Amino acid sequence: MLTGLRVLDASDHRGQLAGQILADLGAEVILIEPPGGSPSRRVGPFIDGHEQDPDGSLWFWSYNRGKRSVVLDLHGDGADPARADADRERFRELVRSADVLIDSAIPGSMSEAGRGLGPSELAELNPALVHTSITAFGQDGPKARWHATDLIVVAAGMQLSMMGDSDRPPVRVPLEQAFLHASAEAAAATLIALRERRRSGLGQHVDVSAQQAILQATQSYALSSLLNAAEIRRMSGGTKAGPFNVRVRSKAADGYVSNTILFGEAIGPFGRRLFEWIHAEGECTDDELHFEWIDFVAAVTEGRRSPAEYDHIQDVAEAFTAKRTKAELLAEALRRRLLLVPIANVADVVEAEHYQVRDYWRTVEPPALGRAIRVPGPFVKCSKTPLQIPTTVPAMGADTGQVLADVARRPDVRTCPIPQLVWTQVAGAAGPSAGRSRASRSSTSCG
Amino acid sequence: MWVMAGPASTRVLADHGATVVRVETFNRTETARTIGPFLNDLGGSENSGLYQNMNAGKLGITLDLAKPEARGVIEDLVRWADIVTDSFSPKAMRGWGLTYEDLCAIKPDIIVASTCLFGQYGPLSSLAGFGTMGAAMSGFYEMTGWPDRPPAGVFGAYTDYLSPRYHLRPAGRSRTPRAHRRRPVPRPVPSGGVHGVPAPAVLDYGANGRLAPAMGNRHPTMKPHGVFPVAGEDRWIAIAVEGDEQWRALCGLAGFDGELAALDGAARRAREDELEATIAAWTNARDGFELQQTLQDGGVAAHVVQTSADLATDPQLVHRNHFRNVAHADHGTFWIEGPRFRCRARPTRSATPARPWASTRSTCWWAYSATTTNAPGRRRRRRAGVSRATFRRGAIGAGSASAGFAHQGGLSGCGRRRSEG
Repeated sequence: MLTGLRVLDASDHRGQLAGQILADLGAEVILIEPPGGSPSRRVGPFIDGHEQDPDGSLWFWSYNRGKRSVVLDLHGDGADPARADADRERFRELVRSADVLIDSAIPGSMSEAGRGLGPSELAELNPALVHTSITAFGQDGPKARWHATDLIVVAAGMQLSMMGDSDRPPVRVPLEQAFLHASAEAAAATLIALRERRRSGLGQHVDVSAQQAILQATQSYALSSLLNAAEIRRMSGGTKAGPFNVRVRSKAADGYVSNTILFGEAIGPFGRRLFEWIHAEGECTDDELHFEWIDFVAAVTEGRRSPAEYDHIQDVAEAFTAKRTKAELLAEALRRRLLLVPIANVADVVEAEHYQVRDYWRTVEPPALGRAIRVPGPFVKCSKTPLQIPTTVPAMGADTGQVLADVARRPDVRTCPIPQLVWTQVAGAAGPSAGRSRASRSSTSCG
Repeated sequence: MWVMAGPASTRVLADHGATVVRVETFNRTETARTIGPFLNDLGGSENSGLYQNMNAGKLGITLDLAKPEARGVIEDLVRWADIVTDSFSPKAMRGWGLTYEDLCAIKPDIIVASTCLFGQYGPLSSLAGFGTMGAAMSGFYEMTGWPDRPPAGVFGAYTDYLSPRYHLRPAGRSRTPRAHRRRPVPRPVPSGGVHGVPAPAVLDYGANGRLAPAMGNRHPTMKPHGVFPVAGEDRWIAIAVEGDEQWRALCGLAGFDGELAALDGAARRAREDELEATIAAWTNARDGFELQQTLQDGGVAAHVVQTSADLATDPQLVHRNHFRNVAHADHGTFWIEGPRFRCRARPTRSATPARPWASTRSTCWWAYSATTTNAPGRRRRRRAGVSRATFRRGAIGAGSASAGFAHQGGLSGCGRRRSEG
């Protein structure tokens, strides 16, 4: 879908998912690595025994499929300032040829120390460039240059306060999530800016804040205080929402299941169906079956019911699930349309029949491992233009010579008169021949 | 679409200039309207912060699909729209006769973007479900918590917070420019909700046979890395020590002795329990906000674990204008969130509130006259119960809603939802 789109990915482990999403959609993505390799090559998990190997990081393997790798010294922190100057000039050439640049640099850092690679400087080089920056707090504001890791962003973005056991500190999702949210947001933001470019002919700087992105994971409870509503409080296996202890985790005979028992016209009937099953097995009373599934919350507000009755109903359900295996519960959930599924570990996910049937997984073959392993496949199934998921991951600097030689040979497409450029893009994006017409753009519109 | 996964994605389109029409029914309450946070903690169909936040900036219409006239309205909307989105299980759309094939028969070049928990096919696809189940089935729930306890779990409907970003992507990009729309162009049908499988954990399992362990707040390489108590009831600060330099800075700020400051990463790993207790004893009685400033000034990554009250006064979010107080028909004003990214040269339009349910019987009619030559005639409006007066009232709404680049044929779309059947 994005064939012909050229993306420079100068981000580190925090932003590389964005470029990979664009690569999955067909864009040509060039990863710009500093000398010594992208920091993400030093982020775990690693292939056992390959912790020091630049091709051993499974984080790198997760988020750099389908990219080409070019090593350039943009920061100039090393011992060779002459090389840095030359590399920055090469980078400028690449920027002139690109549609999109993604970075995750500290705001302001790329224009400091004579680097001359700040957003406004790059926009002058290539007015049609969509430059997307992924940072912890955004490009401006009092915290823009604060030190931040995933843990810091999920703390600043409230998600952390909502998770964990109530008698222990709040707890985070152990795999870094905040910057992945931001990166996925950044890919969407980039496409929106590209669409806008069709009209204006101009690129722009797109500023993605990981703090603001992860706030989406509060399910709008970020607004509680402003709406004069009570704070959500953390609870192991569920959530304390006002007077209600909403449990999600429920014991099964062989592990845990996720069981949602809530009320209202849409969700209440799921609970009633669960209790019809429990009742049929003789494990609840008539009163419990005829619980106030639709209007319970209102009944509590009006003082007709007590939140303790909700606790009791959840006790009954958990006593029921605790006697049955995850597989039994899932089979019946499918049959009876219940909100009841196993709490899966990663092995359960990878081995699940569902994803085999959907042909979801793809494989990569890291040389350090010497065999193929599964990676997540297409995030969307498109009926007419299925995603071609790339399965190669570049060695450090593998494409430096080739890419730089191509740029040197290629006409400087982005210096075309802007209206002409826009029109070509519009025509290029139409219909099944999109790839071909965009690929030939340099000769038709600039030649 | 309903609740969050679908509406969140079309909210982004609306923020950036698309005209999004949300289709609801009066026969059943949309679930998001029954989910908090509620204004003043009072339930009510117009009081849900979730609903208002997810649907700000959209137009609304209510239809009763049991009535044959409604079909005509649906067909008009589809002909007007560029994109139809839904977030139901596949069975629901089949039941309404609104599968991709049905919609193509109405408009051959329509884009249909479907997102649901387990995709449009596969053994689990018939599960009607919520993101809480997606969180459980994707591995996130199991790995979040303490090694000595049952899984604490990721908060809420986690996959609903991830999938919107994947959902709107193909929809946002693959549309043909207006000039070419009459040509029947093949259209993608995106589907599927659970892509949020944590990729490095999948590869770790494949390469090493390892299952991502619950590890509290610990980190494989940053030591220490945790959440520590500060002054106040249930108040905490997160601290991440990225390397030796940051560790020495922390020891200097906290007044720890030189022996501790000299520990390298491996030594800190070996003594992690002890170091965490030492840090907790230092942070325990201190003010969290002062402490985070001290640590940040000293080069150590730290932040108070914020609650919604903290967010409302967070100088960063205030600076970024994240929370917006927008006019609301029932409440005067209502707080919603702004966009999560900024297009700096040509910013997004200012947010407008979600349409009140009761006013949605007819408010999208302006859209026909504004953007299509195929406007429905007066006869059809009357059949569907829409009067001339409401048509005009709807047209007034067009002014603000089509600001930005929607009226130039921008990211126009048709968000569609109905409560699940």
